[in-house]
Amino acid sequence: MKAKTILAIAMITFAGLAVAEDTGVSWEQLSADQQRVLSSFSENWDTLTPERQTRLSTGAERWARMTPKQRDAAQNRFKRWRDMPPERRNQIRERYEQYRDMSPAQQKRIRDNYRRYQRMPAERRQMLRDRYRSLTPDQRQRLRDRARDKPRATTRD
Amino acid sequence: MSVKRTAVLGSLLMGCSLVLAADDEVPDAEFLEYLGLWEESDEDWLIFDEPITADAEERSDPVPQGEESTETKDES
Repeated sequence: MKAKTILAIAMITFAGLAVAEDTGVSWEQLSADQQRVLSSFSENWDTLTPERQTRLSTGAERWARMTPKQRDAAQNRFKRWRDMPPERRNQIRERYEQYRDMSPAQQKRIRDNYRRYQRMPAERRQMLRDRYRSLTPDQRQRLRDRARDKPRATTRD
Repeated sequence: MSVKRTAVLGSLLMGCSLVLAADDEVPDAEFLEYLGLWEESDEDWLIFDEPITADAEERSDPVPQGEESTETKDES
């Protein structure tokens, strides 16, 4: 009985791992819109890595759903992204991966911070940026840890 | 068919093909991969282009006009 339980747990665990692994998307699984956007890959789709298939199919789906205005904005963001030094892009990707590992509540707090910051007058944003730059790496790390771990206060001191 | 009618038909056809061309616009693979890189939207990364917003402890209410913020001050 004990052996059966262990086997069952092992099977469930490995099944979970298999689901988590990126297995890609077959050409037949793509919608008509995705196939149209990705038509240049129709002949060699099977030769692409699963990760690339996933990125391309997700990107094609997003593109197909966008309005012309959204497409323009996304292309401008892409240009900014592409023109960044690789180190900066890696740094942003690392932060993004950390963000994905956070709880929904922590993610919401970060998104709220960003929106609040965006709404601030330019001078105030500049002042905060200057202050942030003046912090030592240790101080920045402590801020990061505090933002991640400490429950948000509902009242001010 | 009059010249006027031919011109109108020609304009209509041209308009249709322009609309179709816009709809058939296919971006390059690098851009599509970029779009598919993010969980919800490619706007997500903008948050981390401003580390201050991701790192700083925020106050829960808007800062009153003229009051100093403590958002980035460290309490060491």
